[in-house]
Amino acid sequence: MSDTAKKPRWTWDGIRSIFRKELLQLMRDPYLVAFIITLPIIQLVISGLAIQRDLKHIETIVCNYDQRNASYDLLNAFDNSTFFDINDKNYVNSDQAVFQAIRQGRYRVGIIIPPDYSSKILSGSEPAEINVVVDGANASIAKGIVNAASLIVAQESKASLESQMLNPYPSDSSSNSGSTPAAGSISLVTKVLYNPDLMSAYFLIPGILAIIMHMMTILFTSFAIVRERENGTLEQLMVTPIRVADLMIGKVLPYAAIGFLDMILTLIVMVCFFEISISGNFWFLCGASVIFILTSLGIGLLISTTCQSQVQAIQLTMGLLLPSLLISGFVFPLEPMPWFIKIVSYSLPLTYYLEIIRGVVIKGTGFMELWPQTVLLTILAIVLLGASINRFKKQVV
Amino acid sequence: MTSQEWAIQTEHLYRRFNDKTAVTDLNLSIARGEIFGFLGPNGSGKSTTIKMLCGLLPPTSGTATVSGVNVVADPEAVRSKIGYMPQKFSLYEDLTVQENLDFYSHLYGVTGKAGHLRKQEVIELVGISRYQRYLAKHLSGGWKQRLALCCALVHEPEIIFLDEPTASMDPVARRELWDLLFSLASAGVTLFVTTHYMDEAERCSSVGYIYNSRLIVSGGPDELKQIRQIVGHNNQRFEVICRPLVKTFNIVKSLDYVEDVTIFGQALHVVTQQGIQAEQLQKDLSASGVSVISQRPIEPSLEDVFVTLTQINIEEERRIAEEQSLSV
Ligand SMILES: Nc1ncnc2c1ncn2[C@@H]1O[C@H](COP(=O)(O)OP(=O)(O)OP(=O)(O)O)[C@@H](O)[C@H]1O
Ligand SMILES: [Mg+2]
Repeated sequence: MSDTAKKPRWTWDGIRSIFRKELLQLMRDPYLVAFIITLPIIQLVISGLAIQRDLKHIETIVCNYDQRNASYDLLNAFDNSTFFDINDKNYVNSDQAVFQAIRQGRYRVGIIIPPDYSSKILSGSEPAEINVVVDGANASIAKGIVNAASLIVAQESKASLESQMLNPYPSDSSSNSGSTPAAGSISLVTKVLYNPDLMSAYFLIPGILAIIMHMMTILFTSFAIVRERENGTLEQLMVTPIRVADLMIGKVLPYAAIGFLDMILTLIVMVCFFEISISGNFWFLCGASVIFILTSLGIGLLISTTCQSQVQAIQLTMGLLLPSLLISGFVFPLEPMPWFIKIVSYSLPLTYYLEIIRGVVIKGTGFMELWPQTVLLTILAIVLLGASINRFKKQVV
Repeated sequence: MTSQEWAIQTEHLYRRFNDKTAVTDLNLSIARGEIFGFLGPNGSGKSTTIKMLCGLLPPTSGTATVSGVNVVADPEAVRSKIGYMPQKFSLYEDLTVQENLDFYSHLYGVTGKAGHLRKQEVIELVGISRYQRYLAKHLSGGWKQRLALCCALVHEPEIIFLDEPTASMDPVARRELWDLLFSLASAGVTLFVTTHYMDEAERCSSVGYIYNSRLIVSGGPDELKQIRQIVGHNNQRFEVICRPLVKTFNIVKSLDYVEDVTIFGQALHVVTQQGIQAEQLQKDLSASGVSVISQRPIEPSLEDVFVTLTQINIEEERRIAEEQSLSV
């Protein structure tokens, strides 16, 4: 009785023998290793490309109520930019036609110039308005279009103001033009159809990265154990004096290493390929990512304690992951959710990590602001890993 | 005997899976150094029993003591004392023979110079040295079994559980394995072996027969052939060598005093009712035009014992079921 009480919960020796065996097996299957390492990167690149398509030469539908020279100058500026293409056939007579064409998906963007555009530009008494209508179905494209349009409008506005500076007293103008600074400027009114709250690729890609790493780490970890159960090798392992903690730690270490490596690689892809720079501290993000990977390992191990086959493990992972995508703040903001969903949201590691990665990458915040999330993520990692080792009984059925 | 002298002892061991009972009220006592043969039809609960004794599967109720350790209460404590060779090959197919053996000896703490010597010893013992560099998946069935035996032996266990070790072995390999088991037993190792082969059962020092989750009988093979139900039930058993075999089989079967007849190679084993003389059978066969080459009374085989006991068991169950349906 005292014999078992004195036994340590884990030993270096046990971890080492399992770890060595696992490495040997991985080395026997280099394709699997290459697959595990490259899969998250491929997934990130594909989903990133899907939301961030090339914004060039977008066919633009136009309704020009003004029809005078100034309006054509503006449309030429649009047409001459690399973003917009305006052909003769793109002109329609009513703003309704513009809306309809975009709703039907025939055009992604439309320009409506009101009848008083030229007179406002010439008089300089108040800013001349133009309307840009974009299809918001794809948020990042819509955002890109709006950005491009405002760039062009700002340039035209500047050119128009400069020309007024050269000729400060237009012949037919009133005398108080000097007192209205907005004279001759153009203001852009944008209208987004379908999806007024734009979320950009900039906002989405760090989140996608988090989700891919979460899912892949959970899957590969649970596979590592469930495969042994499926093949019956776990049964043979269980009759040896190996400790449960040694078995799990030894088995999971190689996948943890792969997870960390992948995390770094996907961050590099995000920075270099999608040109999303990390405005905050890179090392803090790396540290938080390591903790996040640990929570994923814990979840993967927990899943492996209940599943008899790899198919079951996939089903359970997906079944858990899909709802957590919806309530972790990845798609919908957390604030308006009911309290009982919020409780679940704040017990998910993904929720905290999303706040951390978005904070660091987009807002440039660091540990000073994000320490509560970091601490809670650490607690979750400890709880999940501890629970999985406790749950894993040394019994096969 | 005191409990220390028993290698394995179970009391009222039960195991249920949902609504199916795989092991019912198992009481076993196996002495140290014995080769215990565990027989029974498919699905009768042999593997389930072994898994419970190895501490892999918790029993629904009852106790099991293996090598002085209560495996129900403390399955961890028995690990280093036992070896287990599962029915299905359960080593790593993508590792070589040597790597599998290294891994398991490391887990059992068989390391260093002594460990190296022990591994060499086991490899010699099982005779697997020429396959050391093979991946386990490239071994044939019989050699896989021998590799599994290596890994179950490497830590010099006191008790080894072998679940159908000879299932995929050729006759020579089977003979070699049994020679190995005998030498282990003579060194004091207790062996718990399941098998479907009667000739293997005859070589065990004691056997148990489990039918439909119940242990029907256990004891030494010779002992079992003397038990009352066997001897008292069918006290006449003849081996009849004759031509033509199949035709005679049908003739013998139709005789009203014959209870059972089976073909054994070139001979028939005939079980007759009490008091039937050898002359009577010979006379009836000659009358039917069969040329009897030889005829002699024989002892029941272990198979006869198991078949008879199973039949008695089925009849008893039917009788009990009928009584119950009548009383309801
Ligand atoms: N994990 C399990 N879940 C449900 N039922 C099980 C489980 N394991 C075994 N059984 C059932 O228990 C019974 C006994 O199975 P067991 O494997 O012990 O038979 P066995 O005597 O070893 O048969 P065989 O000679 O075919 O190996 C079978 O009916 C089987 O279906
Ligand atoms: Mg079996």
